[in-house]
Amino acid sequence: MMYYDTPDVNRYVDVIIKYRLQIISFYLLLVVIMGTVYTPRFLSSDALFWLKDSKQLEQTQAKQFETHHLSKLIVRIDTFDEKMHQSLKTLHDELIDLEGVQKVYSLFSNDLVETKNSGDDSEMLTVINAGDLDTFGLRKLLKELHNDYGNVVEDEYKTFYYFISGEKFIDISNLNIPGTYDYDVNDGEINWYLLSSYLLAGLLIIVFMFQLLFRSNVAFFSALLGITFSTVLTFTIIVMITGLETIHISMLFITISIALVDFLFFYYRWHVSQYKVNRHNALIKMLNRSMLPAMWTSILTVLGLGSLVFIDSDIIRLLSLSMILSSVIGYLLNLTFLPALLSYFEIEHAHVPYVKLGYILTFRELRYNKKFLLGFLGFTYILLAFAAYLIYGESNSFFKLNVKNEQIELKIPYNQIDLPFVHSIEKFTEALEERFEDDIEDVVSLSTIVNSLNNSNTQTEVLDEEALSQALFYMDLYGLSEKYFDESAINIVINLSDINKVELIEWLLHYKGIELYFIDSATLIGSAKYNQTVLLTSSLFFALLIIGLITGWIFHSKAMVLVGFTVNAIPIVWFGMIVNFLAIPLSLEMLIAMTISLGLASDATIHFAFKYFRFRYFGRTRKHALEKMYFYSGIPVIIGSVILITVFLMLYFTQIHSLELIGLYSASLILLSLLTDLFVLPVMLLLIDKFQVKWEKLSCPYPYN
Amino acid sequence: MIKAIILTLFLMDTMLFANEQTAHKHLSYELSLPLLQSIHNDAIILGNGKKFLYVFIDPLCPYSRKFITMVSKNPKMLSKYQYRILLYSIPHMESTEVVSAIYISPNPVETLLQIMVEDKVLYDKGNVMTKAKVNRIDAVAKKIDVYKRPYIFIMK
Repeated sequence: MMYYDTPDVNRYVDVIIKYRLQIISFYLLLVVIMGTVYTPRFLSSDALFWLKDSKQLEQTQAKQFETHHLSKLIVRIDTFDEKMHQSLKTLHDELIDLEGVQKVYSLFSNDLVETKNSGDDSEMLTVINAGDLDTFGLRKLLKELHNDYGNVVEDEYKTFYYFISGEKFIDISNLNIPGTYDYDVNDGEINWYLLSSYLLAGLLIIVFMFQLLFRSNVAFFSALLGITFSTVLTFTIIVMITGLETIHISMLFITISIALVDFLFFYYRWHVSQYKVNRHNALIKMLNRSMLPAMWTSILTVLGLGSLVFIDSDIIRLLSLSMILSSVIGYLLNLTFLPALLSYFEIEHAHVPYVKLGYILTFRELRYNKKFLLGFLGFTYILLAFAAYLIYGESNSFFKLNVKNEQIELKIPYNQIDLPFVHSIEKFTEALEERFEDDIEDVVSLSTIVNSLNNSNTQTEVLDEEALSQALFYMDLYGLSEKYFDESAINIVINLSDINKVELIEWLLHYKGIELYFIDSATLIGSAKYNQTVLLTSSLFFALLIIGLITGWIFHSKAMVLVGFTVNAIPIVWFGMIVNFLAIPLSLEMLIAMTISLGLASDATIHFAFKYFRFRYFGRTRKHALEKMYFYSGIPVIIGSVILITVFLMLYFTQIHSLELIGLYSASLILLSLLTDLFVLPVMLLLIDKFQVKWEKLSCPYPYN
Repeated sequence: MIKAIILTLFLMDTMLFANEQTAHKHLSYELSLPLLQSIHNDAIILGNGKKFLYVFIDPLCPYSRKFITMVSKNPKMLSKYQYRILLYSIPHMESTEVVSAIYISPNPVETLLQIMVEDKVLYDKGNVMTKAKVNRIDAVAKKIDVYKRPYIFIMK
C-alpha cells in the first residue's frame, strides 16, 4: 500500500450507499449507548492526575500525615489604623473558624517573643500575639524586629497576606473582608454554565468559518457529527478499557483537534472533487485518495504512541490513549459514517477560492535557500541538544516554577525531641538559607521558636538540654506546641520570597540530613511534576523517534526518517525553548498541547509527503507536485489549523484557568505546527526528492519538464 | 554653664550604666538538683504530671501571679507537669507575711491560688516552722542565684 497505489473502492462505495441509513443509525445508537453506559467524569484541575503518580504522596500517606490545600488571601487596605487593625484580626479569627480550615498563617498568628519585667526582679518570658497589641505597639515591635514579617505584611502596612491551610479549597465568599482582596480561584470544579456558553460561541464561530470557506452547511453539520461521535466514542472506550472514569477536560481538545483535521482531509477532497465529477464519483475520489494516507497516519499514531500506553503513569496513558483512539475512531468514521452521510448531499459551490495561496507558496519555496534551511535545521538540533542537556544533565533545570511569597509545609518525623534533633533542624535551616539566600524569606520550625525563646530567656544561655526543656515548657505554657509539632512529627513552614520552586523541591528531595515529607498539595504536585519531567520528556522523544522511523518505513526512504522526526520535533523544540525562556511551569495543559501538535504535525507530514511523492511518481514536475500537494493537503491543514487556533484563542478568554492555558499553549503550538508544515516540510521534501536523478539514470526524458 | 556640666555628667552616667548587665552565676544542673531536693518538703505541690518543675515565686510579684494563673487555669499544664512551688520573696514586694499566711494555712495550695489568682491577699506573722521554711528556701535560692520570679528549674 504505497503512495502510488490507488485502491479500488467502487464496490465499497456502492455498499455504503446501499446501507447508509443503517450505518448512520448504528453510529447514533452506539454513541448514545456508550455515552450512557461509560459516562466519564470531567475535571478541570490537573492536581488529581499528577498526585495519582506521586511517590512523595505515597510516602506521606504511608506515614499517615494529612495533606493540606494551601491558598493565599491578599488584603489591600488604605490606612492601617486601630479600627482596621481589629478588622484584620477579626478576619484572621473568622478564617480559622471556617469549615475545613486547619490553620491560618498571618501577622495575627505570629508569636512575638520578648522578656517582660516590672522591675524588682519580677520577670517572665512572654509570647505576644500581634492581634493583642495596639497599632502603635505593633508597628514599634515590628520595627525593632527589622520587619521580619515581610511575608505577611508589606507596603507600609497596606498589604496583608493570609495563608490558609485546609482540607480542601476554602470558600471565603461569605466573609466580610476589609479593603480589596485577591484570592486563589477554585479551578477544581467546572463551571458548566460558563463552559457551555463558550462551547456554543465556539460552535457559532466554526459555523461561520465553514460557511465562509465552503459556502455550504454540509461541511459544518458533517464535521459536528463526526467530531461529536469521535469524542464520545474515544472517552467512553477509555473508560471501558482502563476503568479510569476521571478525565481532564482539556483532553477533549485532543480528540476534537485530531478528529477535525482528519475529517477535513476527507471532506475537502469530496467537496473539491465535485467541481469536475458527480457526487458519486466524488465519494470514490474522497475514499481512494484519502484512505491510504489517513490509514498510515492512524498506524503511525498507534505504533508511535502505543508503547506509551504501558507506562505506569495515568497522565501518559490517558494522553496516548486519547490520541490513538481518536485517530483510529476518526479514521473508521471517515471511512463509513462520513461517506454514508455525505451521499445524501450535493455541493453547489465546489470551487474553492483560496487555491492561489498554494501557487504563491510553491513559487517561493522552489527557490529556497539551501544554506538557510540547513542553518535553521542545525540551530533547531542545537536547541534540541541543549534541551536534552538541561533535562538529562546533573540537575534538571529545564522546567521552572517561579513563585512569589508562597509557602511550603513539611513534616519531619521524630522519636524524641532532644538537642541533636533540634540541631539537625537548625543545620537543615542553615543549609537551606545558605543555598537559596534571599529567595527564602524565613523558615518557621521548632528550632526557630526554641532559639527565639532561648534568646529571650535570661535564665539560660547557650541552647543545651536544660535550655531546650525550658523552651519546650514555655511552648506548652503559651499553647505553641500544637502549632510546631504533634506526637510523631514536627512541622516546618518555609516562607518563599521569590524563587524557582522546582529547584527548591529538587534540593529538598536530595537533602540527606533529615527525613522530610511534603504535606501541602501544591508542593506534592510540584514534586510529582519534577519526578515525571524526565519520564514525560523521554516518552515524547521516544514517540518522535518512532514517528520518524515509521515515516521512513511508509515511504521506503531513510531521508524520510529525518523529515518525519524533524518536522514533528520543530514545533515542540521551539515551544519548549519559549517555555523555558519565559519560565512557564510544566502543566498537563502544556503536555496536551504538545500531544495535539504531535498529532497534527504527523498527520500533515504523511498527507503532504503522500501527495508530493505520488505526483512525482507519476512524472509531475517539482512545481506541479508542490502545487497539487498544497491544493489537496495544504488547504485542509490551513483550514483545520486556522479553525483550531481561533477556537483555542477563544478558550484563552474563558476565565477557567485550565482552559486558558490549554487555549494559549495549543494556539501557539498549532501555529508553530502550521508554519512548519507550510514553510519547512515542503522545502525538506524538495531537498530529499530523488526523482529527478532517477529519471536521469534511466536515461529517459523527464516526461513533464 | 552649670546646666551643660549637669547634662554632661548625666549623659556620662547614662553611658556608663546603660549597658551594664547583671551577671548571674549559673549553677549547673547537677549541683542545683540536690540543693532543690533538700528542700523538696518545703514545696507546695500543684498539678499531677510526670514532668517535675521547681518554681520560685513571690505571691505578690505580678509575673509570678501571671505564671500561676496561666498554669492553674490550663488543664493540660496541670496534667503534663507537676509544679513544686517554693515561695521566695522579692525584698521590695514585702511579701513575707503573705508567704507565712500560705505556709501556715491548712491547705497551702488553695490559699496560694486564692491570693495569687483570685487576688484575695492574706497576711500572717508566721511561726518558727514557717520561718525555718523560708530560711531554708532562702539559703538554696541564694546558692542557685534565683535572681527573678518566677524562676523555673525543670528536672530531666
